[in-house]
Amino acid sequence: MMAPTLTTARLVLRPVQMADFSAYRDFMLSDRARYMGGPYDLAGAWGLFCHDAGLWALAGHGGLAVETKDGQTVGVVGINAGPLFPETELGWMLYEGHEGQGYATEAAGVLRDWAFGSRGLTTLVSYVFPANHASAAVARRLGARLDPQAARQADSEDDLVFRHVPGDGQP
Amino acid sequence: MTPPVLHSQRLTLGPASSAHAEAFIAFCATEDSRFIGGPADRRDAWEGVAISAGLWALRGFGPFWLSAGGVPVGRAGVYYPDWRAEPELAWTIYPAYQGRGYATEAALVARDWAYATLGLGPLVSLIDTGNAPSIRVAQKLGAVLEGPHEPNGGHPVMRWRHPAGVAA
Repeated sequence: MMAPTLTTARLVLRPVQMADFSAYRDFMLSDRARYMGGPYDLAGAWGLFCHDAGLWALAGHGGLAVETKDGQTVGVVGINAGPLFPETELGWMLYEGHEGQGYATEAAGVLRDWAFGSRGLTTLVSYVFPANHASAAVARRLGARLDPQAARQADSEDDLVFRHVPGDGQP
Repeated sequence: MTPPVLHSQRLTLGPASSAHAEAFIAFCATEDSRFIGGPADRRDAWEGVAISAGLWALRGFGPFWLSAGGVPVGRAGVYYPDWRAEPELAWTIYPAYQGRGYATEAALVARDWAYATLGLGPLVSLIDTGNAPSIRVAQKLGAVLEGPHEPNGGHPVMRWRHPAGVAA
């Protein structure tokens, strides 16, 4: 399927485009990518970028660029699957300077709602490095709960695994 | 976009299926994948499949997956990562299906499509000097040796330039 465009009060989630690569690459080559298995080299960053864009055609879900309503790209959220992940995963990343405003929670929340709604998924997990307190806080704000029984990625046995289920985040 | 489905005399060129992904993962596990950066584990090979799909989504063109009689036999098309100076016409046929002219047949359809539909060309092919079967394909396609390219993991690579026009 084609990547959808989703909107929230402050954000637009839209298909990833070539023009997004420079900011994505800068993130993946920087120390900010340490909680995502990085920093990566150029080819590694390109591979992940293409994976985010291409997974839609292969799996019916994938990555979306997150833009503010004034057109500034602040990060990427995505639903990942395949041999890279034991389970279908909801992930998020914010570029430098855009933290602390609730953007990750808002973007990941609307993508999760799309996944459980139109897309018909029934559960998602988020893998979080134990030291990544900001991301763990996002998962908790989304209403996800720690799932100590969930499978970990082979090289990441210490990951926290948060489980999302339909109804999370609703009053 | 996703790839259109094209046909040559014996082959179908189109988007990835799970059968294509599994065949590619099996190929990448072997030393035969050395000319495309292998061997690679399941995770990296899968990422290679996703990268192919991503190229279509991002650029509107990329590698086609090849089937003969419904069986995955390889991939061929235009490969253009961000850091390359220009797009490349590339092909890979799995060992069990080599020696039948599939690479030439598929690459010609993909090249004609890229020229006619995208206005690309004349395209380049970057071929390891040790990859004699692929060099023969380039020659059959009318490409001419242009000079050395950056080495691939220490192996010398040559740049072949394809003719400008759509084949008659």
